[in-house]
Amino acid sequence: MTPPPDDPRAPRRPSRPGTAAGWAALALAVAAIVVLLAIPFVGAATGRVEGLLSSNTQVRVSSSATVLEPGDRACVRGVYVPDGARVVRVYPGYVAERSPTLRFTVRGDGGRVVAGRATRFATGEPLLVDLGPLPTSASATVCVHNRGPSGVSLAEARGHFGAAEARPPIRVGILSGDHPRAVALVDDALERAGLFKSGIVTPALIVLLGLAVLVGVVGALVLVLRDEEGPSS
Amino acid sequence: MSALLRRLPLAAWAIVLVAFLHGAAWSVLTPSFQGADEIAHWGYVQYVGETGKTPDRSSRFAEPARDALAVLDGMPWSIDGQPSWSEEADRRTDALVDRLDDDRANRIDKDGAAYQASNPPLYAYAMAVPYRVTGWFGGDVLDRMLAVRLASSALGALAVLFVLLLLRELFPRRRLAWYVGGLAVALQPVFGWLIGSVNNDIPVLVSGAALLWLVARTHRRGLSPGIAAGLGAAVAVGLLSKVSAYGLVAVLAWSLVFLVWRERARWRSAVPLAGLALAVAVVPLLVLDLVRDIGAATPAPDTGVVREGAAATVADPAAAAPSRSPRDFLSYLWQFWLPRLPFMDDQFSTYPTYPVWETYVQAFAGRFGWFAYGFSPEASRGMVVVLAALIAGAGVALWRRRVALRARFGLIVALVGGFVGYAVMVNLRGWQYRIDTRGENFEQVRYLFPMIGLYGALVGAALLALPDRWRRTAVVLVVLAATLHVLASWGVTLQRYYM
Repeated sequence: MTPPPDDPRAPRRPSRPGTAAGWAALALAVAAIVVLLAIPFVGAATGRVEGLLSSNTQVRVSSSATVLEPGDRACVRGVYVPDGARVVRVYPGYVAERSPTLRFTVRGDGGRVVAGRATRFATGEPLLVDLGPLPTSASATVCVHNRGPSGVSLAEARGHFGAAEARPPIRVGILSGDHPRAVALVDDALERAGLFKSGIVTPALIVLLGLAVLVGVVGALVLVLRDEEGPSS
Repeated sequence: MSALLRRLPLAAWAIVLVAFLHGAAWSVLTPSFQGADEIAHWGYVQYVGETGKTPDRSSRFAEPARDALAVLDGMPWSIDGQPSWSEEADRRTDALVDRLDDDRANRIDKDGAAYQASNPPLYAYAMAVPYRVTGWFGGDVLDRMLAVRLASSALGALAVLFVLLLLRELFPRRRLAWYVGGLAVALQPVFGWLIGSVNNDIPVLVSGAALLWLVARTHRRGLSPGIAAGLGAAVAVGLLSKVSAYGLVAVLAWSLVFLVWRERARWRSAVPLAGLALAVAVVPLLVLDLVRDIGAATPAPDTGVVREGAAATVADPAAAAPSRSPRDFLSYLWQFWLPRLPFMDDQFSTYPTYPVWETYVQAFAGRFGWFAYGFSPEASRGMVVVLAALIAGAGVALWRRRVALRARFGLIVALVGGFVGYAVMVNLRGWQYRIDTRGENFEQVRYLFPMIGLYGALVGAALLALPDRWRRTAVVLVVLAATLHVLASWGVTLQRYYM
């Protein structure tokens, strides 16, 4: 019986692919592709704006901003304020050399209002303002009033359907304390992750599945390392 | 096949389990309808699950059934907006969903599938099973969605099983190489996110992975009627789930050329077997097309739901339709992958930077939730380093084994060429889509995932570039890095939606 042409036992023929020249050509082609693909990355610093990626329907280049001139006010309704929250977070974009004074108010469901102000802040960093204990609310109204002397741009919550007025709503976050780290927010985050899902999706289940992945990885790794190298069947 | 599976070591099954758990974790973490195009995919599954029929293709907009719409409207944020969670709104929505669930009419909308309705129905019919079973136990729309997401995760794990079988064919005496390749795929965060959602890309992943495995198996063991039918069936599953899976036919055809060449001494039997494979692949779709006019006039999708506030698209209605000439396609293809040459019209002027970088590399590093968030471009550059290291490592390993691999040169060319052909077919679909929609972009990294087995092969081959004594350490480091990548992806997801 004649072995098939690709069988190692088959006689070598200089014309077939797989000769040194064939491999060299393949290596050359791959090297050329790699070099060509690398060109964009080497020259990536073109000053063009990097942004979020596309879906089938949109390319979002960057977050939009709304400009608050001195005297302007922007409000967002329907903001959930959990128990123990103290801090309002907004995202200033461009800030003039002398930053304006921003007055923040949070009006709770029961009408209680908490206010505070921020006077010095920098461009491009989240602005966190500690207003003290905020009124726990399912649907609070958060307002920012620019007291001057200069304008400020604030990131918008794009596509938010709960706009309180004609002006697009600004992006507002409510945090539970001073400069909280992400770890401090995990509890809340997991609670929220269980909302608007099947009743069996609870924070415990989410954590359990996350741990199951980690345990599974460790278990698989142990099995992999215990398995001797050799023929697979 | 069953004997084949019985011979799989326990470690391989553990990797398959990890893949399922990974998808399951994403399925509970991702908010409802935040998978890619999940509103329309859900509409398709729900319509088939409720009526047993395929939906109409009359609408480009998704008009979800009342129970799904109650969830969408109950959530105090939009697809594109900033979440503002409320337990009270959640309770209100739960109560409304319970009430709506009592009347079957609230679960049916013929336009729920919208632009996805032009796709073949295999995935929707498969997912109708968990949909209905959950309903028998009193589950509402949210319970059913979780059940379908979990079933999709199981399909994704099946894809990983085929990837492992492929790697076993490629590295028969190097188990560490196929294990590490399988783990790299199982722990790829975008893969995990995708299989944890409702999406008809998932059966195409299974299809692609099975096809690559069978191609590799055939190169080692020869073409037989069973294998030929298997090759065709693998492609048929993809084609019956998604129109744009036709790139798999190109992979199959390309592979068959090499398989027939390999067996040219008995070409009289090899050629009919190749014909059999192609027939099994495409005839079911052609038959279905006669019945249902598959894929005709796919309407351009919108962001999902008919109501105000839909995000703007990049399409310019006033723009002239791009040309359909082959020259323009070649220009499009070039510009997608490579820097534009001076004499070419700019076909990607709406991209902030380079298409391949934004669409494939950044997205492979991590883009989730309608591809609207992920890692920063700076962090994504790490993926370039990783991919470059993997390609270099695999190149070194191949070069060192060039004599031993002489007999498998045809297989390597078939697989690499298959990937190139598949990627070109995705671009071809993207080009057509761009013409049809006057400028919207199509390509996304998930469309390359049917070839993800080759990513596993790349990782496995790169491992073989290392000396024996370093390989186990390298496996641990690779798995550690992949796990940290998953954790970071969950972190950005928690931050995006819930913090």
